[in-house]
Amino acid sequence: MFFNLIQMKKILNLFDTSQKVDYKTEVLSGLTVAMALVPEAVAFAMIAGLSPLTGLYAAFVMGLVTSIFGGRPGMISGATGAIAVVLVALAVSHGP
Amino acid sequence: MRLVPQPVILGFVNGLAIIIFMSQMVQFKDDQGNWLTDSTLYILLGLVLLTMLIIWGLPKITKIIPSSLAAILVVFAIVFFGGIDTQTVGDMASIKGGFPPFNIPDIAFTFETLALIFPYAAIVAGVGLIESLLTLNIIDEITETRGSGNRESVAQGLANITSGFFSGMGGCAMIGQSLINISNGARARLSGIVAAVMLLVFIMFGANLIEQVPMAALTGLMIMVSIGTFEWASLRTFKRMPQSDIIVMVLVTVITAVLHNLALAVLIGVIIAALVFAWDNAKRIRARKMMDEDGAKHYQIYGPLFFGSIAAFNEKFDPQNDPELVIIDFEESRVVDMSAIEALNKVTERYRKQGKTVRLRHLSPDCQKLLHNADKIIDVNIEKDPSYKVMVDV
Repeated sequence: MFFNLIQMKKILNLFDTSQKVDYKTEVLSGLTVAMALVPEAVAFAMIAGLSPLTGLYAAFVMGLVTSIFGGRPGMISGATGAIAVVLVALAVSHGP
Repeated sequence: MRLVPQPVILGFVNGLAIIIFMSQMVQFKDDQGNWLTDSTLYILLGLVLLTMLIIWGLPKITKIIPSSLAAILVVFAIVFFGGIDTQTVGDMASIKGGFPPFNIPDIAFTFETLALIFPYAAIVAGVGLIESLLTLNIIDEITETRGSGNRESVAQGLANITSGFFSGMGGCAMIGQSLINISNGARARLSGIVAAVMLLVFIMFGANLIEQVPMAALTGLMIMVSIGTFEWASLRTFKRMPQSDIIVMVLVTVITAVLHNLALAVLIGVIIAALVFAWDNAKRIRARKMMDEDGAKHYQIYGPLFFGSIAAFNEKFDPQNDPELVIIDFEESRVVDMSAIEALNKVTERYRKQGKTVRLRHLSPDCQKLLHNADKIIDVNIEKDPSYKVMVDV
């Protein structure tokens, strides 16, 4: 019970309630970012020689996890060129 | 990150801006890699410029919706209703898909597999962390708030693991998209969550619509991001900054932009900056020599004594011609590392061989402890020496 309370508090603390959130800006900006994510996610997956969906799924999962648990609210994560470049060789030799 | 000096960060940011810009140039080429010509090019250029104009100009008129979103919608509408033939997202690849399928990576869990993937994993982790933490720094600077690097690192690791289990590839912070988000005014977690969820909605339900979005709009957006990312102010500091800093900055920019190797760029930048720092400090060691009335020679040391400066330090002394008693004073110096302690041992040894006495003055207690035979040679008497008669050399 005690443990659960601490855990609850930790999860609730993720959302800094003292911060004033401009909901309209957040939602519209999120929408813009989602559109800007598409070509990059597709392109980087293709650089690494993977299916476009690999990049899109990465952008979704990583974007969600880091925006909830990350240390910098407002920062967007996903499939990036820097990572793709490293993965090319492995994907070519052992990939699907 | 504390060890990453400002010129390295500036060089890195500029390198990223150049990468973002260069990666958009693909849009102006055809499948064979030739530059587009005639009407295809003009339409594309027109739409890209229109996008950039809206992104730049709209905030001056209204901030009711983010200008980048407005630009995408306007260009989308023009192309869609005007029936204009131009490259769209769908021409790259279909983005239609289901919910990311959960799967446990289908590999042999053997030592060979680990040996194969481990180097890649280590590089990906390094590159990802560096890019994420630098992006975090940049956002901190723009928003004048502080994010938590540790927490972000943990989240990045968690996100990469989760991505692996949901058929995704690895990743890290995306500087372009983060900057779009921040420049739109978003500051909270909600924007990132909306972005991720909307992306999934696009994949699962909106693929047909999103595939109609003209690439020109997104290209224009990314070009604006690269222009905004580039630290134009860093060009003006060229004349004011030390030459070594400029070299480091340009080098990091070039390695980032040309090799796309962010980790290497930052690492080389840090190493060069550290070496330059060590070199500068090595040159700063000086000794003021003087004789006192009792015939003892005093060496007053200025500047830090460390591995870089011991060679210069050793040259200062002349055990053969010095008098019976030599006093080395470290009041204006600092004994920094093991090499320095070793150098002190050597100097006292050189004088001992000549049968002369050396006293070290104003040493910190911890380096007194490290010196051999400390009690014999160190003058723990902290009080100042009375008066000087002759100043032999400056």
